[in-house]
Amino acid sequence: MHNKLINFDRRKFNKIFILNITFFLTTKFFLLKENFLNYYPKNIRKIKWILSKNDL
Amino acid sequence: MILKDDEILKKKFQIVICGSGPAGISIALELEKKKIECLIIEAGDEFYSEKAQSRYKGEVYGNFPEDLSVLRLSQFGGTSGHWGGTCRTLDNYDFQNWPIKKSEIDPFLDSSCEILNIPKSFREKNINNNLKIIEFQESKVRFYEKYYEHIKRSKFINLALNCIFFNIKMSGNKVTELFLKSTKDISIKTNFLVLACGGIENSRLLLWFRENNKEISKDLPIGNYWMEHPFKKIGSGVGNFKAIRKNFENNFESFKNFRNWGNFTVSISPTQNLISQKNILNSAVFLTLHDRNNDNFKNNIKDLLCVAPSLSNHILDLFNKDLLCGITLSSSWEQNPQLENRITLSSSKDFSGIPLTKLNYQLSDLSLQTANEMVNQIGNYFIDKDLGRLGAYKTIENLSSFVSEAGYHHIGGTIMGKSKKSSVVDKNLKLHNIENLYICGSSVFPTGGHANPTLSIVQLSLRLGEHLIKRLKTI
Ligand SMILES: Cc1cc2nc3c(=O)[nH]c(=O)nc-3n(C[C@H](O)[C@H](O)[C@H](O)COP(=O)(O)OP(=O)(O)OC[C@H]3O[C@@H](n4cnc5c(N)ncnc54)[C@H](O)[C@@H]3O)c2cc1C
Repeated sequence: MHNKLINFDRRKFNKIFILNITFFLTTKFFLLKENFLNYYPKNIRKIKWILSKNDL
Repeated sequence: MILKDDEILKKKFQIVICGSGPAGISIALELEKKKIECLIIEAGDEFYSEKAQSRYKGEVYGNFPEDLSVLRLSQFGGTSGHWGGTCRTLDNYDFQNWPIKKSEIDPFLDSSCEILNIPKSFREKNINNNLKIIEFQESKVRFYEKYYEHIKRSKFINLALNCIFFNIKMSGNKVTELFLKSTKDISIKTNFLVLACGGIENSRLLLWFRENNKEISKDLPIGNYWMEHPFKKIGSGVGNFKAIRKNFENNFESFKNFRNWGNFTVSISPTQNLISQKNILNSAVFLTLHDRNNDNFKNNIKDLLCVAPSLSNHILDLFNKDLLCGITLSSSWEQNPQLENRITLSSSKDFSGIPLTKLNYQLSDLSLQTANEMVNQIGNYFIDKDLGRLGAYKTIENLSSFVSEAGYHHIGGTIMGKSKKSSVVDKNLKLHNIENLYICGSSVFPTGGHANPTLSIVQLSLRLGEHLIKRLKTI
């Protein structure tokens, strides 16, 4: 019984852990993505580039 | 020979030159060749002195980048005491609004290069219809070091130091007397007077003389159309180090003698075709390559990839092969003559009693258009030749964010021309309507091109020397 309880607790813990980690990673990903997009925002760009059509 | 006040008074000089900078000394050297005696009056001492320098203070309105009192030097040899020594001739097309052609000062190029100790080589080569690579020379000459002892021993060149040329007296259309402030106030007579006091002082003195002499016409645009050569980092980029070097060095290896900026610098200028087609001003762009340690390098890559994601693979490939380098575009270029840019007299006076300088200065949209067009042209050349990508700094987008980093080349104010309404001196540098007053220096340039002015100043000075020799024969 004791063992069963421990196993149950572990299973519960694992579930919570997996949920947590998924949540953590997804938010982090979104945050990173957000961060990446804003990493070099337009308003601080110092240069107006001369580019060819193929560069875009 | 160096003269004291009493010795000045004992002699009569047919030609008096005011100012011992490159302009004044070059005229005196030309006269000396023909054994003609002259007197140079120099407000400064043999070396720098706070007192002489204090006469160079002034008020500045607009976006002129520097304090007037630290730019020029009032001492023997003038501003050549701290100039950069970069030299190049003006272009043929810079003379479009001059009353003379380039061919009229070309004969004085060889002697001018001898004075400045530089090779007579100012090569150029078109890289396409719109752009050319140009060659500069570097002079190490300080006029004090090269000419002080020479003048001290000269039988024909007399020099008065610490002697301020203060005013003139006129009779009809002739200057008859010069007033000098030295250890005491003295006055002397001469047949010909030359003002060679520098690109700001020539206007200031002439304005002051006009306040005291009605004979100098109120219509002469003295002080007007004052110009400078703006200098700024105008663009940046990244490129293929090897390809760029190969592209330029194969043709221009011997042009490389310009400046020791970065690893490699090449100077690019617009052709006459581009200037007339796009209606821009003349310009020199210095393209410099940097290694990866340069601050701009990483930011430039980030900036470029944000707007041109398709270039990522190519850039990464160059980066991995260690071929990617940073590029800086700096430029020194022409400013168009504008009536509002002018020197007038301040209500404060220097210790000798001459009103200080008041300078109104504003850069025009056309100047910025020129800088942007040059980045555009060079950027497209880089695309054509697959050398890299360049862009213009946003600081040159509009005038409100633009401040030049120079302020060194003082052009206009007593400009040369045919009309007495729109110019101050004629093609021989003689003041319109006044028989014996000449002006020499960059203040007579009607337009400034992009070339550093001193070589052209020396050429004009030697030409003026020759003209004065001819005039002396007629009296
Ligand atoms: C920082 C700096 C860097 C520069 N670099 C370059 C460069 O790389 N290449 C280039 O071509 N040019 C350069 N220039 C410009 C160059 O120095 C000038 O073009 C040149 O010195 C002008 O010569 P000038 O004889 O006309 O005048 P100045 O050299 O200014 O000499 C004028 C002389 O007149 C004297 N004077 C003035 N008023 C009176 C008076 N009332 N009575 C008696 N004497 C008077 C002054 O004391 C002075 O000695 C530079 C200038 C600066 C400030």
